[in-house]
Amino acid sequence: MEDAIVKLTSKEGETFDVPRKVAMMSKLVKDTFSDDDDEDDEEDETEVKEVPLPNVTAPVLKKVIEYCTHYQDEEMTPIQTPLKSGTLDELVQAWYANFVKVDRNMLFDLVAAANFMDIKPLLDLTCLAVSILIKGKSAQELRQMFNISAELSPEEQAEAQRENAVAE
Amino acid sequence: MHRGQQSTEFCWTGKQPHKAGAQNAKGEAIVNMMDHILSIFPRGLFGNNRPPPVVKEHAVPMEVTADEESRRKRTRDCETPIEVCENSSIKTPCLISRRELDIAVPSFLEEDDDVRPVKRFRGLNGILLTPPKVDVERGSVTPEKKLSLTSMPEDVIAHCLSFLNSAGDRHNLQCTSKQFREISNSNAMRIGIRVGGDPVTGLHGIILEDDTPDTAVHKLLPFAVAGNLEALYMLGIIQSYCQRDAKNGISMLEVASAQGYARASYALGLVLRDSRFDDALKYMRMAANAGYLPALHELLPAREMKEKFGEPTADELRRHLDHLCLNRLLSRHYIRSPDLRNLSTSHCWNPLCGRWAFKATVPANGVAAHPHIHRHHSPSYANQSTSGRQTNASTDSGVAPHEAHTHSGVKVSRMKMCSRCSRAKYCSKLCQVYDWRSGRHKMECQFL
Repeated sequence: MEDAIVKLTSKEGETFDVPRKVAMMSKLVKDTFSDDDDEDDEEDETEVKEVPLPNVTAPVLKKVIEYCTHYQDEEMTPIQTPLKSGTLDELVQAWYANFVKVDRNMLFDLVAAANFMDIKPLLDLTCLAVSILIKGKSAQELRQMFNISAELSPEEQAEAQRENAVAE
Repeated sequence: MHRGQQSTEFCWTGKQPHKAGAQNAKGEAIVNMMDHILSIFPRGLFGNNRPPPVVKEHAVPMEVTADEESRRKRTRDCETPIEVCENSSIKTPCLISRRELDIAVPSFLEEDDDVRPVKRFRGLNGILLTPPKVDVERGSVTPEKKLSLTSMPEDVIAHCLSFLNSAGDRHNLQCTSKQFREISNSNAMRIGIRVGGDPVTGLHGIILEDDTPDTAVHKLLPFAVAGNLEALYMLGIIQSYCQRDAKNGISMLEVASAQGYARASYALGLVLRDSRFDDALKYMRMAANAGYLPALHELLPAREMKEKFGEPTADELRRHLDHLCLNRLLSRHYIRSPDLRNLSTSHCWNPLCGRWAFKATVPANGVAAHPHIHRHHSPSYANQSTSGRQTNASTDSGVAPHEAHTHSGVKVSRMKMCSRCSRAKYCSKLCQVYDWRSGRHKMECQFL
């Protein structure tokens, strides 16, 4: 049972063989299996199962699996809020800090994948990375970063400015 | 530091121009309002996130100078968190998407009898709420960026943003877009914001230079209602010192203290020192048990402090002082309230501290006959004989601010004096030690 393999299929149809224990980090995969257990009995535990992940592209899935595999060896310390520091390296272990040092699109893909596959620690980590991206950015920079066309009317803008102004 | 000079000068020369009056008129409305605010917090519980409508009604009269337009805006703003909090009170451990996840079910699955994945999708679809408007325009402008953060489910964004805790970042989010604005107005987001500013630099607090205690209370209120302890603490301090209503302020501090906010326990330990000595000691011990350094300063003799913690530099001590913007607000209020200064008050000599206290020698209003003065209490918890020169604080007997105005019988603490020059007065040991270590009073002391 320990050696059981789960096949995860990416959006493109590429298949990854993942040890069951690693794949189980995803609640999506776990739920898929626990649903099965109700129906067919334990006789086919060793059977290779396949889980299609139509929302996740191959490079992202690869990265997710990399994370889950490493998590087995070195568990990520839960992120403590309120944050004590503004840099990733001081908040999580070095490996995890390096793991999210990827380009922005990849990071957002990872957030989406973590949310879809329901991997709590990965979601925490990637969201933390995003929040560190946001930290200290001006509204203008944020709009550029997230492709937001200016949605606030000038009055709203002024109101937001006035009500949330901070002492510099 | 220029602020330091300014503050001391104002306090001691007392020559600054000031606006008199209006305080008493406002006082009534504010006391009324604060009564209602306090009724929001049922015995130290913040689980109840729903502010009663009464907040809105009573927030308006506070705006004495505001015109009709800004009143309406502010009133509307008070309503926003109510709506948001009702939505966000449902906290799910796993983030359930509120937006359409855009799951393209592969064609091979649609015909397939394999129930597993289909089942999963069915479950997901069942949860999906009505998707908010999809931004078609955004997609067409930059088609090459297929995925940006804003196309993600709202609670994922909220999760990302929940790691942000500085008021400056909040300001930027508020100005970015409507969606970000709504998210950052949620209670979950408000609860973690450092309204007092960065603890190290003291910058980016939400109280501005032109804020009066009234407008500051207005700004802090939504945060305090959301359960932000720092905001509640600041409200309590403003209330105790500026609003002539020490009783309500102290109740707020007690609520914050009951939630385990050590700074509030410590403040209570200082504030109640003269009127309710036993309670004060209890609160001070509470803060000390939580490892809060300034409380240990008050409780332990100087020598023991030195053995245990060494001699923290002024910079290390500074983050234990009240938030910079709060202290400045108190200082401004002190400077602008002629009645306060005319009643022989002492302002703390620490230029970064905004607190003050009345002197006991105040001749007016029959202080000697006041039943709440307990002169026999030692104001210092620590053993005086073991105190070193710089931390040796003797009594500058004093009574509470607003003594002449409140009938609550609850008072804010008296001051301590530098035993070397017998001139400098401090609200706490922390302030005294800070002022000495920063070198300011050390220099000044020999000339006094």
